[in-house]
Amino acid sequence: MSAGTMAPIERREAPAKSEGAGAWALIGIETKHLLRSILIGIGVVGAVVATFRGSSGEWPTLAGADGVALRAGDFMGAFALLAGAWLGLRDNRTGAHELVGSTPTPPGSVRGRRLLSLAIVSTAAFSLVFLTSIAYAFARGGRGSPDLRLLLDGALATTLASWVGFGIGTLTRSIVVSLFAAPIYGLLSSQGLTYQLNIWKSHASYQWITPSATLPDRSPTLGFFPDIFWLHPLFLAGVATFLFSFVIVAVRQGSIGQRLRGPSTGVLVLGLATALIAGGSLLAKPDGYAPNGSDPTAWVARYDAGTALFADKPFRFADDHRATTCASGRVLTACVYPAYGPKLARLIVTEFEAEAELFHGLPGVPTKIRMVPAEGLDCLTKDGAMAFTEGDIYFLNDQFSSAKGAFVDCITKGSLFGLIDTQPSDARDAIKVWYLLERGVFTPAQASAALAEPPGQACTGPNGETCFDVVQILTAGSWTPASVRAALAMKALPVADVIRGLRPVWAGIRAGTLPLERLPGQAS
Amino acid sequence: MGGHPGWDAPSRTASWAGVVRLVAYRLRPVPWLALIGASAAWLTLVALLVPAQFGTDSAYRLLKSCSIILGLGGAFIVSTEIDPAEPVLRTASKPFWHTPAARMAVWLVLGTGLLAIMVAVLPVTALVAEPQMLMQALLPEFFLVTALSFLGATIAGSYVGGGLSVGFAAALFFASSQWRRVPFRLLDAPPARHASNKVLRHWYGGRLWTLALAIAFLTIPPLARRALLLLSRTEFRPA
Repeated sequence: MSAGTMAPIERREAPAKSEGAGAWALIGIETKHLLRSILIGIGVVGAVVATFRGSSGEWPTLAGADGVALRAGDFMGAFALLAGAWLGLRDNRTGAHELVGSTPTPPGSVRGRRLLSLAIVSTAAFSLVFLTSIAYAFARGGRGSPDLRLLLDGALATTLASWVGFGIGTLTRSIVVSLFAAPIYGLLSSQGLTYQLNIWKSHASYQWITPSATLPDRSPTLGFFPDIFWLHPLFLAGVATFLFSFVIVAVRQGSIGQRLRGPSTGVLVLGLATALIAGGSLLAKPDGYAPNGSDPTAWVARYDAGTALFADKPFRFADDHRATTCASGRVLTACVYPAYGPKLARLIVTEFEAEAELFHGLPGVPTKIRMVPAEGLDCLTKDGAMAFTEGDIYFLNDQFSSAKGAFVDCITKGSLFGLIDTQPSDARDAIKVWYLLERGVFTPAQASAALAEPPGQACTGPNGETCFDVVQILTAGSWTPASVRAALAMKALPVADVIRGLRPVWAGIRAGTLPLERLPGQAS
Repeated sequence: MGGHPGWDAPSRTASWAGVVRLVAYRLRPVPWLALIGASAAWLTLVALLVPAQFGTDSAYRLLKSCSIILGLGGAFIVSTEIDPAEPVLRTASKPFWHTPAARMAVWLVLGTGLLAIMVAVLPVTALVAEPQMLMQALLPEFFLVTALSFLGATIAGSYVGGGLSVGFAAALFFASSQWRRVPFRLLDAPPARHASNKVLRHWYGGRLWTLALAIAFLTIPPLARRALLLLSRTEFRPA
């Protein structure tokens, strides 16, 4: 093609980028900056450490790991606030505010995009903490399914914290206020502190409306009591929407009337209305529930304090057919909720098999242990199994071996771990001490030595007598020297003789009326 | 030694005025008003919250938070955000460490005063400890976080350095609560009245260790700077 025939060069307009593409470009740039933020990094690392620490003392379940991650969100929130505040301060600190202000993009739009990038990074950061917690629980043998509403709630809480920071940084332009605000926000929204809010004897439940709400009482199988995790994310979304619109409206030029024109005012009102309605509903929720039967829907709402699902009056829980993961031993079967896995069922069998085997055949001695959701119950269920509450898992691995003898407590006193002992009886205590001696929790020599020691001043028994203080350190018991002497006398007999001797007096032992002298091996 | 011929020695009053002016120049870049305002606002809120029906543990947690929040003031003593022209200031005839030392002294006095006022107005009858014990519980943590923030700000500026020091303080608090062998006990509540000698010894030991840690963090930045300066001088010494 010669030069003469070459088509003339046409002036073409560069394809105009849509405004949407520009918006995404800014969001992308800010997101990249935030992902490299050391402040967000510290928040994630700290929250992950907190989840490891928080889950180490608990039996691993995926339904518990989500709550551990949510609790660690307090720490995450403080650093998200710092990162957000820096984004709000940055233009003024670096002298770029005039440059940003000279671009055709309105300042409200720039701030909106920055808030969106904060939301993206906050959500990603909390999701990382959440997934780490779930993965850690799964690696430790946790079962069940996490409640993904907690992921949404934590992501919204972290986003809200970062937006609060952005608001503080933008409005105050003070590096001091922004830095001080972070630990204050983290502390005031920490669940360790907000839990105290529910002891203000008020009907309104303030603890449910903090950004990082206190976790309500929970059973992995039955859910939360009360269930706040429909309303709480809605509340957070309402507050965040209000804040988002407020930051955009606040930077507009003109009078208040002019600033309030436009769609963002509608969004602001919508956010405020949502926050008020959801917040009001949360305040009206009870603090907890008092179980009064086997049907959780009939449990009584309580507004005075956290109850930890503790029954006001002991009752026998009926089989709700939810404890379906079982393990069996020689004489004992243990069934737990599937979320706890077969490992826990096996551990319960291992822990209580010896006790069940020893007393096997005596009237009313159970051959089955079943998990129940509530505390403060009669230790036997309606169908004669021994009830094992979710809170009792703690006793299985604590350093004082206080689970040992719990089965004996149940079959003699009718209460787990002797926590509710309505009718103290030396004969019952003697049987428990004898069992602990047989099991080797302490030796007869230790018991004799403790008897010879002067009685401890701080320890008095239920009837004001001096109790057996040395052994009390080893277990949760509080026994009189007479009951320990009786147990030592029983220990001198063969085990089969003791069980044979217990059979005719068993009804009296369970009733709590048997005198100590009628136990096997006692000199009449 | 006499002065230059024709040069009149300044009177003592004039020299004091000069010293005061110099100290004022040294102190001026620090946002004192914002620091005192933010600290006082938080302390007032705590003083209002603690007597409410909070448990003793939460009350101590809130009180300890005062030390941490006030300690963040250490991030504003010296940094590139407070003294953008720091390299120029270093060439002045007076040693530069006078500036951070003067600012630090003022901030420690101010912070201690603010804490003392809060403890004085606090109805401590609900708490286990006596007022002087409460100050012993709060001051070492205040010094420690101040020193940490000072160190953090020296390395990464006031804002990021302050954030880093919060993270590091959290790590120290976590370590002291997890491992009993860690000698400094940052979260321990003050011992009860008439506590045994063993408990008191343990308590004062923890306080001293915390102070020692604070002094270590406080002295690391100037020593490190000095060491770096000496190294660079050695490296670029002309032949």
